[in-house]
Amino acid sequence: MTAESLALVQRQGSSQFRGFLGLLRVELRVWFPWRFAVLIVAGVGVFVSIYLPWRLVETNRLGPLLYFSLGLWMAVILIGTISLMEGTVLGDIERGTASWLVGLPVGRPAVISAKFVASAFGLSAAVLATGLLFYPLYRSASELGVTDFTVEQLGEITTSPIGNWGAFATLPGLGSFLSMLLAIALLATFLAALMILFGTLLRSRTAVFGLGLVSFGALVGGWFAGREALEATPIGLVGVVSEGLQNRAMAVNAPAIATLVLSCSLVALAVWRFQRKELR
Amino acid sequence: MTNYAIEARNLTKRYRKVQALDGLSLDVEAGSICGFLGPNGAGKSTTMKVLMGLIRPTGGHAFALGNDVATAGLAARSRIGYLPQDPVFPAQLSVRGLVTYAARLHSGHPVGRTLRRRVDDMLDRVGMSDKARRRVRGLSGGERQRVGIAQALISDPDLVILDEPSAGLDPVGRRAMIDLIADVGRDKTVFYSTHILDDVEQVSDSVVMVNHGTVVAQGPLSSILQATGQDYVVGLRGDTADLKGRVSSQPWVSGLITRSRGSLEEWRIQVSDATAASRLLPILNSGTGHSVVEFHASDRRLEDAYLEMVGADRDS
Repeated sequence: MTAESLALVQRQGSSQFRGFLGLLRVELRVWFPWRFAVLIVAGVGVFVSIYLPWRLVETNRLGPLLYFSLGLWMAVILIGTISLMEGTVLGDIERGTASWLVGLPVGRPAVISAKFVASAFGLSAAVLATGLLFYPLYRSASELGVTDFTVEQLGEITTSPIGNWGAFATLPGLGSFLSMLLAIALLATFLAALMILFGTLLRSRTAVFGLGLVSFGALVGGWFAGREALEATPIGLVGVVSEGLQNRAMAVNAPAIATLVLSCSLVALAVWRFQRKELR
Repeated sequence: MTNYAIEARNLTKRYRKVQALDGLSLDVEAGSICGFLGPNGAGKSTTMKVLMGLIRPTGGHAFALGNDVATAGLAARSRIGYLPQDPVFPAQLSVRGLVTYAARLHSGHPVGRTLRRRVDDMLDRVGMSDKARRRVRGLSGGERQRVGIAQALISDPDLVILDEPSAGLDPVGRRAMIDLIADVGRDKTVFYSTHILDDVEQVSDSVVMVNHGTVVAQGPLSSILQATGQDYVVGLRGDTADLKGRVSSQPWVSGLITRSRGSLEEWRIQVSDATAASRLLPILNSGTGHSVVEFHASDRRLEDAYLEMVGADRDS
């Protein structure tokens, strides 16, 4: 190796996070622009599909519309996360990209960490961008006085038995709304960590996808099944969104911190597993 | 003291019922171009993956550039350029982006002007300058191999490990690959696997042959060829049926290949004893009904040595 080359390309050190920034850069290119755009378009699709029936809006149904559209959007983001990430680790291993990458002087922890950080960033950016894009529209509609809402009118939307929907009639304030966006972003990040872990544990992408869906069901269903007991868990974040839409404050701190800690633990477990993985 | 770029000691690797490596030990001298030969499933790729830290051996030790790949793999890989078999690169990258990515991961530095120039030079060297903007996913097999070589060489490594670099290349591409290996091998150690024995003869100065996960021969190419014996070419006319039996029955004759050239019958006699010529000629001249019109020693080809060491065993 020539002196020039040494100066040019050799970096000493054997940190297991060697190469993290370079890997992150390329992982971000997986998310931007395409995955980011897919999530934005899906979000816009959800809002438009519910908002477009102008007749309903004119009959003052912003409250349930907001509830349904944000709830559905959260589901789309989370299921989208599962779909986009089912091949994140396993796909690389199956295709052989991982063999090439790990043959470079990068630490395996750096490979997994870069995937996680890029996913967290991409998902959060998509959630914030879509959410903040639609908040002014809700706000305007609210100011135009379309927030008044009656149980009878809601009956035209759904034939299900209806409880007290009056609480949905008012648009949450921006602070509350941002808390909901944070909760959705963190939930997506948590699912991303789970999908990365599944990718290091399982050998079938179908199984990874299936377990992702089961996790999604457990998150959403968990809140409605045992809300108080699970407040300080990722399931509590579902409650933050649900309660926020009903204008009921719920502290985001505890579930948010718990979710972050849990997500990092899942990634650490994925790193441990990936370090022992044979890349044939 | 011999300086080895690669050392492996009693490497074993077992995949459930398959013994991929079975006590494999090899040495590759620093600065040499070493061809790594063996039939499919012999353990070539497995050995290379052990060296690159992609799989862990069940037993034994491997060292690359003095680093134990199990404990100091990262330090070793920072000085190794590696081309896997059938490489698959991140599809979203362009040709230039991929080579830059590899350079960046080797260096850990942002891409500066010097690095960009180096990437351009490397693409030029492998003949991919005109396709620098193309996506990796759209490349042909041969183009992908060339990009693979570029990313393996971009860090100016001390050791280059290439797993079947000529696979999937057309004759022109193969020729270019061989020239590139010869060029790279002028100041680096190149350890490459291949099934194309002609290529090995052209550029390698040493050879390692494996079969069933163990080394069956290794050393300088010339020694390998000598160790496997000598060939004699004999031209005969007339009735050679009895003679053939007499020659084949000699214990120092390891093979006899015959072919017709018009009225002439040509025999290639493989012998395991260097002094066999003095015993062979009287046998050839004995008997009646035939005449020897041609007799000369022939250089042993690597293919002959390979078939003797690996092929015969395969047939058995």
